[in-house]
Amino acid sequence: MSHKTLMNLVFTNVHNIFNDSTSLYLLQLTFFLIYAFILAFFNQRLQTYLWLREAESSLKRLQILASKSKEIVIKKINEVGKPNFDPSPSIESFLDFFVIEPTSLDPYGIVNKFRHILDVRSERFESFIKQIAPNVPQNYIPNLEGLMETAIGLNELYRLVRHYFILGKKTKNMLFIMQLQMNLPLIMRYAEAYFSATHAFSSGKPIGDGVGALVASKLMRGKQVKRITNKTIFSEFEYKDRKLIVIKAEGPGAEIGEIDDAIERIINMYGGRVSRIIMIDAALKLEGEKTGQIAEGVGVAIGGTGVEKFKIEEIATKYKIPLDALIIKMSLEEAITTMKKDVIEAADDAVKRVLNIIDTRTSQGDIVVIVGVGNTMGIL
Amino acid sequence: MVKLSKNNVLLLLSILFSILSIIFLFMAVINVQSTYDLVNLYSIDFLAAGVLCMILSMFFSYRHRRLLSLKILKQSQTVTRIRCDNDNCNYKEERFFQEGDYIFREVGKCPKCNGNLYIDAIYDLELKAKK
Ligand SMILES: [Zn+2]
Repeated sequence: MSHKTLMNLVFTNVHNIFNDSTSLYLLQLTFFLIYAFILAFFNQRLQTYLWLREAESSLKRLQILASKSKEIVIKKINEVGKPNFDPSPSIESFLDFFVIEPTSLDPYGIVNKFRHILDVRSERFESFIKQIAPNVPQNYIPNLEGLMETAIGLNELYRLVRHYFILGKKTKNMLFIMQLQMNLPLIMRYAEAYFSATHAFSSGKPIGDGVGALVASKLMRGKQVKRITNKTIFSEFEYKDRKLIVIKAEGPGAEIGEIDDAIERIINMYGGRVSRIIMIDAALKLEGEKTGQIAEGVGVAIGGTGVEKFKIEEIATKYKIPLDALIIKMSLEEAITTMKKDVIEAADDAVKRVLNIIDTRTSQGDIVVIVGVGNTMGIL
Repeated sequence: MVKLSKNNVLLLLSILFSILSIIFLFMAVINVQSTYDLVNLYSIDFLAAGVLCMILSMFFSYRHRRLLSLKILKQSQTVTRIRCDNDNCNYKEERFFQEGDYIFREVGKCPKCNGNLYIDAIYDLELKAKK
């Protein structure tokens, strides 16, 4: 032993054991038994522990996202609303705002009940915004509402994950922890998307969901535009001897409009002599599909709670008006964050597709209603 | 000297220890081969040092990744594209998004043909995701 280092001293004893074949055998046996014991009894414990650690770091990130989005809301409200008091406590308590859906035990008339509750909800939102931001310009209210909604969404996600995390930790129940850990990748994707949406809403950038409104806007550009219902506009013009009526929400605030009421009014205005309704909307793509891909089908292309869908289907059925649907595909993240170039390009293609449908499926003298569905934030 | 932030220090430590571990493990292999003795003293020392450095390196890189994941990712840049009303004029301009911009907003006169300029598109630039 010429090379004497500290490490050699430490390891000398180990080497002595290795030199004896019987002790070597015993050593190996002991190690084997320890491993077998660990694998047999601590396997699940170890797994649970690892999952909990993973959930904890996601929870931390969620907390950061939720509190940052709250900060952004408060900053924006102070900036545009200029309240002479601190709005943070009211915002804090409003983050727990909830909507109770009507019971479906007796489904008769449920759509109207739902609609009523949604109306109350949007009224409540608007009055809350006006209360905490008294000097906000009228056209900025919908943006603040959208901003508030993303903050509420993030807050909800955070509380949900925290609930399962604490439940799992307390009960040590593998089922809870597994459920949480398995769902986390999706939950975190939604959370990041919501957070990016906060940025879009705070500066009024167009979002992917607005692609339907963009198509309508491209069609009605340069034409005379009138308001038809609250927050909804339409434009009426001639195209190849057909009368086109284009409907969309009123921009450039974050409005989705009252599309169903607008369609009903237009159809009643013409006594049901509408020969086609073409609806354009953004739709969720399946993984692997290309963003901005356009698909054609029939039916009412409108998302949300289904209240508006019900009303449009009813009036279309009453007058036997064929419904065309044009959807532009994108992921959830792309739908609620700032538009991607693919989506902008898809809007141009969609305009061509709509005109093509009009050319091929309607004849001269027809009245065609074209509806651009979606949040028109950042789009006139 | 460049000021080092906490996560850069962690990254540097992780790289340093991984290099050290590679060196030690390499030495361990060389020593085994040169003496043809499996219970070689130097070799086991080097092996132990190498494994230790590897564990340290993994630990620091784990800390580094956690710190990164807790940081808010930088927002991507939004671009506003401006076009001229005149169909014959192909004037095009791109600039960064400013608050108050919206699609089909009129933004002054065209420097080429004096037509009306309007915002034609607003979209996110696809930045390489910094994840
Ligand atoms: Zn020009």
